[in-house]
Amino acid sequence: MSESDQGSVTHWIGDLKVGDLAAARPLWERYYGKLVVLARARLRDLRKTGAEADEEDAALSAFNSFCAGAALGKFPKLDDREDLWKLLVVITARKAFAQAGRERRLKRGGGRRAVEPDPEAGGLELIAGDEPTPEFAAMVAEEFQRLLDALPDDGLRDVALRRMEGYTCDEIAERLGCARRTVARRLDLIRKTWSHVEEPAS
Amino acid sequence: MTNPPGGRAADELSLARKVHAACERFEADWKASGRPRVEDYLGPPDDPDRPALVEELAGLEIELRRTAGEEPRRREFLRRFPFQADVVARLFPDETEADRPPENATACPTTVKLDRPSASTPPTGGERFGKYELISELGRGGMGIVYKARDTALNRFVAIKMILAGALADDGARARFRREAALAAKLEHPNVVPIYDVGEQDGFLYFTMRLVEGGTLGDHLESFRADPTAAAGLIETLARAVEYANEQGFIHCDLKPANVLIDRDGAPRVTDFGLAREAYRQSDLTASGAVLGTPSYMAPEQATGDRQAIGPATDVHGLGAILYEVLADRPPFRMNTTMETVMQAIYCDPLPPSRRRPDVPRELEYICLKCLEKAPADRYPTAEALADELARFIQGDPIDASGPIQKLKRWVRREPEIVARLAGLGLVSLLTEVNYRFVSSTPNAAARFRVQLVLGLWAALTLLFQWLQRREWGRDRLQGAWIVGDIACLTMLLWILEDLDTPLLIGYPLMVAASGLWFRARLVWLTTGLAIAGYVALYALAGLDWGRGSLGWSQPDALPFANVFVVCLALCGYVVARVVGRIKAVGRYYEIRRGG
Repeated sequence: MSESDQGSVTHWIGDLKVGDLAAARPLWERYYGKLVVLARARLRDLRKTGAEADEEDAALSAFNSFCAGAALGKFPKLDDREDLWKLLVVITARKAFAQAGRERRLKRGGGRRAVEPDPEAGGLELIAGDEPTPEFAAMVAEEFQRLLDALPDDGLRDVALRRMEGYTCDEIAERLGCARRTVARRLDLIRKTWSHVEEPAS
Repeated sequence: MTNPPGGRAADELSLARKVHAACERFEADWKASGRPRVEDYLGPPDDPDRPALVEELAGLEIELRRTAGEEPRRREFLRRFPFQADVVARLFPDETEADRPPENATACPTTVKLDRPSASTPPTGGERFGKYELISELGRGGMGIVYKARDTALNRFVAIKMILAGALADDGARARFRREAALAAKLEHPNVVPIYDVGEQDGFLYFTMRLVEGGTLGDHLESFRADPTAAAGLIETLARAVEYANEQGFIHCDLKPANVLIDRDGAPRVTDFGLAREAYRQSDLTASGAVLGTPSYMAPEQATGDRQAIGPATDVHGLGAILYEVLADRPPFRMNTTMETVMQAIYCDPLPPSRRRPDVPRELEYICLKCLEKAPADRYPTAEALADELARFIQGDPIDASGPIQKLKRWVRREPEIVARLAGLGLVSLLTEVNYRFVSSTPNAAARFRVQLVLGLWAALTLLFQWLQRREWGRDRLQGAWIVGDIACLTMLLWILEDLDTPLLIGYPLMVAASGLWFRARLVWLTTGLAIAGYVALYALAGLDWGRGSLGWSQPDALPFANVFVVCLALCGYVVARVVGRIKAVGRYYEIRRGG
């Protein structure tokens, strides 16, 4: 498998093979680092109108700590098949793809029949290539805020944020002073809630 | 299994939410007060989500206890959750089953394959089980798990039911169960699922029967509900099959929609004949309480454990319960806890189906309620008599509907709160009248009028609360308001009588005692508090009159007894609350034994 084959996040968004993990990690870390920085910048721009509200903005402060973590070399793990980042990027990418599809159809009008790209594979590269575009990062940030709001309580939000910062279940359990099983269960509920939130949109 | 794929994710999410909520409460309670019991967070025992709840909650308890330095054992959890043996096995993945006696290796020397990590874990799909190849799980019940399987010797598909460890207590019970199943295998009727084989394999008792793949009656209720004649025809068919088995000496004891299978041609077939019965006979042994029937469909003689009374009329009750669910879209008895459901099965008549669905034909409702009569003697004596009656209904002939006395009896049992109040009020009103006309030497027309007025108001209030109750008003609020209304009426009555020395004061302790029938210690204390408040108010009013030195308070001697009376009321409340507490403790014990 050549370097260029893995030069796209679609590899870890799509079906990530265990053997590719080592090769994909540096790519993911670079991608992640750029994504969170871009997303934070976009969030900042959006929030400029109410500048003093910055401190209370959960999504922005989350992105602040994601960036801080990334600067310290702390990255969410890639080997978790149900990683929340992966879920977030997939949900955002599907949404972006659906939007792009709508725009294309509008532009196309009658006549030529275009080949619909497969949203699970090549199509994603249009939006989420090996470098995150600022537009995509902005969508990730928005989607992140929406998903965070979809969680019913702060206990779940807390676990979701720490998990996305790259902490392990054991570390989160220790910090929150609860059982490891509780962290795992909350993560499960978070994934199910997010997958469900996504459904009506798709 | 039968969910459409679209609703699957939503179901999974709601299950995850439910499990999450229960676990969060459990962990919070654990931190706050130490040692909550998993069993208190599970909800009703027939909840299909129970295995998932048990898995997370028990897993949480195990982790919390390990953190506290304890070493929870698999054996303990198997005892607490005997019907979730597979779940418990997952929670203790590396503990080997040391509790089991060694298997009798000579039983099936050629085919036994003991390569599962634990012999108490039921096998899963795709595995080989003796001469059977398990294909997929069809369902689970209190007693065991049913799989679709292929008989490799005869090359045919069968349904195989594994009896879970714990459903039958000891070797004697297992031997009897096998004998009973062997006898039941002789039953031959087009509407009875035939038993092929019974045996033991890898430590599991099992029996095989014909594979009926159209699902249970529970999946087909809707189609019968729209057509009362079809419903009557269905129950008639079932009744004739039950009659056949009853004649051969088999009593089913657990008739319910889940035990009626519908085959591809739409014909109903009764399953598990003769098996619940044997398990039932063993119900004084550990954990087999769960196979004593299903509370929501249970006949009172089963619920009270009156084994002598179990007979063909028990199965008539079961058939009536199926008919009830077909007509009313819910089982005859259903409350929040097993204890309340069982209490309902013993004492209360179900709401007539027409209350829930006004288009239910009256005659069919009569037949249904007659099957569900509390005393076996009041039901149809045999399933055949029921079948004949249903046949008359289908043909449009007059049925042998029960008379007004039976209806009155049912009403009394169905609405005990109303009947007790109205009867009591009527009696007091009558006695007031008698006293006024014949007994009293100085009749007081004005007082009589006011007393009767208050009694009338009280009766009206009772009917209002009954109406609210039927509209499913919040239970707790309603009960609280009802108590306040009762105490207010009684206090008003006593105030009119202007006499603290009246025997009617017995009304206060009477109400405290009656509040115990709701099985809520909180309500008992509320009643006690209100009774004391009412009495103190009367006392103050009497004192006021006395202060003016005019009418009332003819017996100042009574005053010193007031404090004694108040203390006695409080004591009465305490005793009733204790009784309620004890009954609930027994109820909880029963619930644990029913299957964790």
